[in-house]
Amino acid sequence: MARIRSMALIVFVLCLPFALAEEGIVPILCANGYQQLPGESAIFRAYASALAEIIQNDTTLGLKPVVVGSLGEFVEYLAFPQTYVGIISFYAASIPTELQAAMIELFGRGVGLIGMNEVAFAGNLSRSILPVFANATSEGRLTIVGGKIAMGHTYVKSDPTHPVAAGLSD
Amino acid sequence: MKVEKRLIGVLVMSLIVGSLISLYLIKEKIETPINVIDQSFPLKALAGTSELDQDKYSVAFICREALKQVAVSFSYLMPVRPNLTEPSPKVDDAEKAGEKIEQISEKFALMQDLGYAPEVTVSDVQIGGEKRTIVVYDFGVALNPALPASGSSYYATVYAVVLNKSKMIEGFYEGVSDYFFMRELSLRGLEITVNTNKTTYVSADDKAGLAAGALLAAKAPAQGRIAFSDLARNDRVSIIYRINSRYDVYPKLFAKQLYGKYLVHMVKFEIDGELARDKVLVHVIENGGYVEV
Repeated sequence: MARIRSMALIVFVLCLPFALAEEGIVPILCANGYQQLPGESAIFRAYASALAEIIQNDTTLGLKPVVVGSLGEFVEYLAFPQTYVGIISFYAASIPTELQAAMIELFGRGVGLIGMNEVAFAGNLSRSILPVFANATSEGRLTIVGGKIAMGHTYVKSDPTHPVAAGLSD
Repeated sequence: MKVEKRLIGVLVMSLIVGSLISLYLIKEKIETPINVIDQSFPLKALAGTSELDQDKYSVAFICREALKQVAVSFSYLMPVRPNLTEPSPKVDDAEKAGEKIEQISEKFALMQDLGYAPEVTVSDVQIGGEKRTIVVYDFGVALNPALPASGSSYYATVYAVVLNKSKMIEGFYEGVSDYFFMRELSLRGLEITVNTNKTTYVSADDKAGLAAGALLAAKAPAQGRIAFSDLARNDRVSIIYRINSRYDVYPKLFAKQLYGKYLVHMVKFEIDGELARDKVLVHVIENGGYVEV
């Protein structure tokens, strides 16, 4: 019995660092990157906070959201080893080439990225690291959808054999 | 027994001279083995109006002994909200101050988890003619090796808290571990001279400079950190860099962010991997583009 107890104690001590390990973090940036209209920044903040709340409330994820205020800070957080994935909603043209290069480098190192809104479908990042449900994307174009003007995007299955392309329509 | 007055005089003099020599020797030991022989910065930054307007920053030092490695690091900080000295405080100032402190603490905690800590320096400065204390939290020292160098003039790696005489927080600053913000737009030139050896970097539009053998400013030492190795005693090192001082060359959003009256420029020296705490230079500079609202 004493042996089982001491074994249990050893296992407990060995597992302690994992149990006490910090949860992964998820930096979130929601902004447009240009001079915002009155009240716009509050909307973006609310949007980011809502996303943070969803992540925080899902205890199965074990992730801690961090809402950041600038693109520089967002990219900086991506470099933390604790970061699992970064979520960005931004206007692609407002991302300086230096930061685009940094994001591509960090993505190459293994950090995940989720792009929303313009950044996900326009500009270099949409081609390099944020293709949505496809292997490649092209920049959006204004088209008429259902009688209304909308931004249309072409998603291309450049490699149909790639697992990400599985189940996608032609 | 009668002691001659002259003898007492000689004894006292010897004691004084002896103490002075000891103090000098102790000071020599405490002080880092470089002497800063020059430092310059604009009193008013970003006040330029013409194509040629540039803000010049420089620092020069001399080695008092042979040194394996010396690194000079620059950082630049701008004020961020809230400014607790504004005549008409905003309702959410207290909340914003709390958020800022939380932001700094959050980063602090993340770094501590990794076994690192920011480099904290405390300096006395003059802001608007008043004596203030500035506490700088430099996360860049630990983070920069892990960050892609290309974005160093954008990352918020340096924070500062300004305290008044009663040690109450008056304002917050946030900045980059680099020569200035947005390096590709701002850095016009950099000259690094070790004795008579000069290396020059110029911006891509300086055709004459490039033709004369200067390197591209984009290739200037990354993260505002210039390292020198194997310096000999009496070696002189000087660093001069120039920043585009016209507000209109920067994006509108950046100009809007630079709302505060003062900017902070910092220079730090690292000798064989150790921060030279007695050589931390903090320059408070007037923001030339500041408009009172």
